Amino acid sequence: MENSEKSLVARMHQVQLAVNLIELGARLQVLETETDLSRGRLLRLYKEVRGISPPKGMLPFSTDWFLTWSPNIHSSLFYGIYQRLTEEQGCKRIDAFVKAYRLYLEQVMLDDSEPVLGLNRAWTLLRFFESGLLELAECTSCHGRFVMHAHTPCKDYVCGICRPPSRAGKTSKARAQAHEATEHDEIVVSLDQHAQRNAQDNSVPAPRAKRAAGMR
Amino acid sequence: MNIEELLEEIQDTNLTYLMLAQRLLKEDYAAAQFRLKLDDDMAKLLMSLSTKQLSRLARTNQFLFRLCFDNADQVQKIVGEKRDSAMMQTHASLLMSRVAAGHA
Repeated sequence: MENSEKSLVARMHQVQLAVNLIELGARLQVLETETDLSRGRLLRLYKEVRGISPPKGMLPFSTDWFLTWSPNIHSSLFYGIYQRLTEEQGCKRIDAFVKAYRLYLEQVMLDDSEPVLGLNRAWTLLRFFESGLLELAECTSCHGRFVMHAHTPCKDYVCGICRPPSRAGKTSKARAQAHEATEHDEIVVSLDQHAQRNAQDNSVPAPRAKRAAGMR
Repeated sequence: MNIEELLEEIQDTNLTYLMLAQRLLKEDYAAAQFRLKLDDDMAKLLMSLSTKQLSRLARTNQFLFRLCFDNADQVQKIVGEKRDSAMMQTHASLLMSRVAAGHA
């Protein structure tokens, strides 16, 4: 009796975990590995939560992606949080993974930038660390720790933020955002002069609030 | 601003900090521990304190909390980044996540 009740609670936790992961964008492969639920149940759960069938195809499997400029910074942020939760605070692996991913998203949303590291990528990152393919290296300039291929000599390592490649971050989108920002500043200036336009301009920070709400 | 006002502000800030810490811990313990950089013992203790105890703790002429960055160089690197302000926040967050709980 007690046994079956216990398994019911355990099953509930599994379903809750699966729902959390699906909400954050997990693919079926992640769910199958991380929960005890059958493929059939997971499929049904997925459709219920997302309203569509899960995408097919393989998960990304290259470690190189995590070493490119912007993914490296995002991965390092995420993994830093994950490591703190597990090693310092003793959180269980998959709980720490979900929490760390949420904390990562939170920060990215605050920065008004895109979550470059999707949940499935974050999960493959975790697996790469667990299988020893990736390691953290300390930047000699800022002392932050960044994702690196394992066994890379990193005595003089400098991270991508301290020494960005010349074209890094100079996408057309970044330029557009910079332009938008200056426009925003101009609006603020003109607002000071025309206080009565205040109400109209309240709409400016709205997209940010909406995005933050959408992430919950 | 006279010293009484400043002292009052310090105490208010202390109390606000303590109460927010409690709220965060009650809502999501592990995430709050990460945000506050508290070890398990301290987090549990803070959570257990009554409002009266919190205000007693807050009533001091010093701050109860301190800057979590190790050195000025690090902060200089973060605020000195010209390229991209979003990256500055990310960088700060990344460096702060390295600070161990109970570090002082």
